Amino acid sequence: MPKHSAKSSHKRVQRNFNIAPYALPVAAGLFLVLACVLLGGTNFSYLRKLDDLSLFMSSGSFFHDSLQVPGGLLSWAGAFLTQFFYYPWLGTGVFAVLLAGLWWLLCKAFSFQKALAPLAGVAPVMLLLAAVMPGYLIYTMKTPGFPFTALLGFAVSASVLLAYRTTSGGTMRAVVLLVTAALYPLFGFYALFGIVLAAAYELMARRTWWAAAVGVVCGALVPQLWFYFAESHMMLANAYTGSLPRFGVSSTALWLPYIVVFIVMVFGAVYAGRSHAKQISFSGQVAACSVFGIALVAAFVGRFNDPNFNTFMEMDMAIEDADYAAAVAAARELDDEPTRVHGLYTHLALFHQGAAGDSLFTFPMSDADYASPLPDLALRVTCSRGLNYGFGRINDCYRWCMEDMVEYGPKVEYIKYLAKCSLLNGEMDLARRYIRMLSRTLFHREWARKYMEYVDRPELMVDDPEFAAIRPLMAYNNHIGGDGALIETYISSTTAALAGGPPPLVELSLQFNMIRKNIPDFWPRFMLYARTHDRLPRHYQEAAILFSTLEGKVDWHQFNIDNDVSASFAKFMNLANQNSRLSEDANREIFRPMFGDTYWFYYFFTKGLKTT
Amino acid sequence: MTTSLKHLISSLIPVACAFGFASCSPGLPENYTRTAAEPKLYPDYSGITVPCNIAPLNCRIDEDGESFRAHFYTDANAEGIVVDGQAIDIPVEPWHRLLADADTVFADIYVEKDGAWTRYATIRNAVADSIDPYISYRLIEPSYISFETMAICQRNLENFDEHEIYNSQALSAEDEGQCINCHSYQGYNRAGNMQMHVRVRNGGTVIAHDGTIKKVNLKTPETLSAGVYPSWHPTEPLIAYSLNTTTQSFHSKDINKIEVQDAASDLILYDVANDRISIIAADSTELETFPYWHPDGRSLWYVSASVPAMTAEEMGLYQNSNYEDFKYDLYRREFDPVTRTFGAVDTVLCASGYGKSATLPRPSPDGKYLLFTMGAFGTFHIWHRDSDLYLADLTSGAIRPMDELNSDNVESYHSWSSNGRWIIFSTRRDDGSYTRLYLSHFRPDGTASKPFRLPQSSPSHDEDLMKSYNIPEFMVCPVSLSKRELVSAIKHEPVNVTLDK
Repeated sequence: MPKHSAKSSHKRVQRNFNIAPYALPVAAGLFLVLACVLLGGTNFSYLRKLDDLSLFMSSGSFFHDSLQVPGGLLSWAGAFLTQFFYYPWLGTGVFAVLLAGLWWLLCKAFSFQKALAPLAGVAPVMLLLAAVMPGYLIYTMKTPGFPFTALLGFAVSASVLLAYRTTSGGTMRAVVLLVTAALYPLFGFYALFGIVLAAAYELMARRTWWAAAVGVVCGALVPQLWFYFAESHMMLANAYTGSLPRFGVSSTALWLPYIVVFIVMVFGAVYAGRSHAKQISFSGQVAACSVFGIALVAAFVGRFNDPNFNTFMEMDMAIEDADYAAAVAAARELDDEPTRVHGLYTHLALFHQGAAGDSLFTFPMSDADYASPLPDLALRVTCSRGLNYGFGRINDCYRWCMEDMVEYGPKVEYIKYLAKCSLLNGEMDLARRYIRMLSRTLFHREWARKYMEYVDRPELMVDDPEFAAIRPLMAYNNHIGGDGALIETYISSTTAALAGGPPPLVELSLQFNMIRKNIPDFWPRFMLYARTHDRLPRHYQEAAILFSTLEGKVDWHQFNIDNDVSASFAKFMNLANQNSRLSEDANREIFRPMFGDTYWFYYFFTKGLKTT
Repeated sequence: MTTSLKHLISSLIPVACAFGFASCSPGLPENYTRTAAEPKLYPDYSGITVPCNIAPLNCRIDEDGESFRAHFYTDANAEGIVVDGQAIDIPVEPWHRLLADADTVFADIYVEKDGAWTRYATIRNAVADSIDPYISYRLIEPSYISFETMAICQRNLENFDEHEIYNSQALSAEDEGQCINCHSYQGYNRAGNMQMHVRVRNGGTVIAHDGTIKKVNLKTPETLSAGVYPSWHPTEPLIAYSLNTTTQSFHSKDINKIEVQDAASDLILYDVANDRISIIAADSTELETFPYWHPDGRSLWYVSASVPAMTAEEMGLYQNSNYEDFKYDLYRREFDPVTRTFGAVDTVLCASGYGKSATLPRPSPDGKYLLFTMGAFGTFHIWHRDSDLYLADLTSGAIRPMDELNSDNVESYHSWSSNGRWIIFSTRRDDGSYTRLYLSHFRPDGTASKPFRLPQSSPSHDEDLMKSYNIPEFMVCPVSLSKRELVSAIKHEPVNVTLDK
């Protein structure tokens, strides 16, 4: 067969081969798999945390407050839907279904034939990515229910284009855009983006350009009018961007998924303006599928995947639920070098399990960097509430809940801690206020019911194991000052300095003095502990024998030191003598295999941990 | 909601009510049993004295039952108003018609339970002098250091209209917010002269005076700070300010939670027309603050605490370890409006001698009484649960705690109505944290009636509101400045004041 005829035959095959019937089901299937992997599959605790850092109340005042900013209706609806992440797989299902709905809507709005449908699927894939990208920033974002808010917002924009495109007559099209502009207070940026899409469509369609022009002028004017003549809590600086995610940090990476969605939608609008039911070429079909495939890969690769963060999510939810065993189990499974939040939460969980004396230093103590654009803020915003509460610093916990509620808006986590702090402080009416809020949520009302019973019958609190564990830790004297946002340093130094108190508080003070390597303050607390307990936890023994040897002031033989601890210490000292000429770094690696889980290793080789 | 939309709705409500009453006004139960008990109402609106022009006393009947009915009537209007439902929602216009010329408004509450109606003991509320139609306040969370969204609002006391004068979000940016505070008016805003502070972004003091609006920078190189707590002279274009170096500390355990302290404070007089300031008091061993003009404009009240002479660093440490030793006494200085000079210091109350600390002196409009707040120590009593309202009879010199107003929780900021017959004050009696406003009738004999919470359109309004009411001030006219005017003034560079030496 001549060459040229083989080539033309190949082209004919290409022309006749239509991949559209296969592309869409395959793309949908891949999307579903990706949604399951990125959401419930790998971000189970993260999704729970999204609900925990959101709040939706079924009340008129909540609705009214939501509408104070442009796009308030979207935030309100977004907060409503975010609740479903309380059950992460349920939230995954809801989110995936709505993303699929957006996909369908985009195909309609852009008049995409089946062959181009995978291209429209890029938008939901990017929104999927956007939902799991913020990492630590979910603690400081100021956009309630941001994954759903963006999803619904883009649906609004697409609907505007669809309505504009399918409306006949210039006047009616102008009316569509006028109404859209008027709906700016409810839909914010997304209403304006809808007008932009209509204008982009009109640029190509050239049907009634003046209708689009009217829309653009109204879209430019309405935010200004709303700012000056309506009562709202709108920022002039955000007049045209209201309801877009507020990350609190400038990061191009975080915006990339949204930028891709913008590009896809503008392209779709332009395409809709040019399309006259043309057959999509084979190469066009391949290109659409390729772009979708690239988006899938980009979403998988670009997701926020930090083992430290994932572990912290698990620990944070466990600590909030007072499920200390789960927190310890999560910490135990972390393979990476931990951050300070892991170390602190591990200590807290072990302490409440009564296991810190035996296990605290079996966990690596480190200060790995946070994979956050705001590393200096990471510890403060993530665990200042949980740590202060768990260590009995009730007023400090209350303070940080209030500070964060003021800045980032009310969230389930804050409300729960505020309620529990109020109960522990005996402020029943205040507790009632907070619990009442959660009684209006879908999935936290059971929690609210339990704690409201304590408001009505405070005597029941005595039997609550969580409160019973916290109360003894509150037995310190009042002083004024403040932590200056240095959470670890403050808790550690103030607790270490306590001179007395109930046994749990004395033990906690003992532990913080060990962590701070404060030998003089260790001894009185250790003596008290040793006098009142039959068994000395292993780390306490290790500290006693070490300090006794280092100082020579207290004879450790008077204490109930296990033989294997003293024997192990002898080996430690021998090894130290053998390697005394080696550098500290070299010694650290020599000692780690045999003594990495001892207080001695912590004392000699863990130094200068950076905290915030 | 836009003001115009609110007006439209509020103007339609009477029409709707008229139709509603004509067609389906609920009747009173015919068969019921009586009980001598008074019904539980939330907020408690029983046995109180109300202004004749106050908004309806909407409240919730906190009794068990399936159906609820409330009948409000007077001697002159026995038919009155009948309202259905557990959350009592009284229409505004019929309510005002009911109160017109009445000296007592009665309320009968009926509750149906298990098919049987019970009528509770009649509630009798006295109707007295009219109240200034407007108040203004700041809405802000009971916050510590962070701030985000706060608003200075004005509220029509005759209905439920609330309008934001300015909110802090307007000119905030993502990386820098705005704090707004200390709204203050000359002569109950009769002439539209007001001031408020803007801090941080676009900071300065906004002054509206004689139909103009400007932003001034009250900080000079020689003075401690910009102006803080203001008091307009009753007639002259003068504002007395305190200058404060304020710090905040936090209690590690005490449920008062926050201690706001001054490390230093002075008093200045600002000439609004000429943008000049002069020192009133600047003793480094005295913390002079909270100035307030006597109604005749011929003397200035303030409070001051004596402190040892020390450096700023030493003061920081001293404050933390001796915060309970900061006790403020009450002073008065004569003032000559013509020469604008002050006389000698007159110690009115040596509160520290009684182990107390007095703040916020507010003379009554007739100059016969002085209302102030007193707690065990400190200057910022909104965070002190032991703080109470006290009344000084300026004729006899007698001072007494206003037990009829005080609760076992915080009472703090307070204002007199322009006719001197009403007091509005902030209190945390409801939950210890979220400040609410209460009103009380002040009788000519120097006693006050049982206080009642500022009426709201819905009884759950204050339960749901996650903000505190801050600095309630009466006004005879609303603030008429538009948001555009305020935004424009705030965006402008401030006028720098100069210090008269």
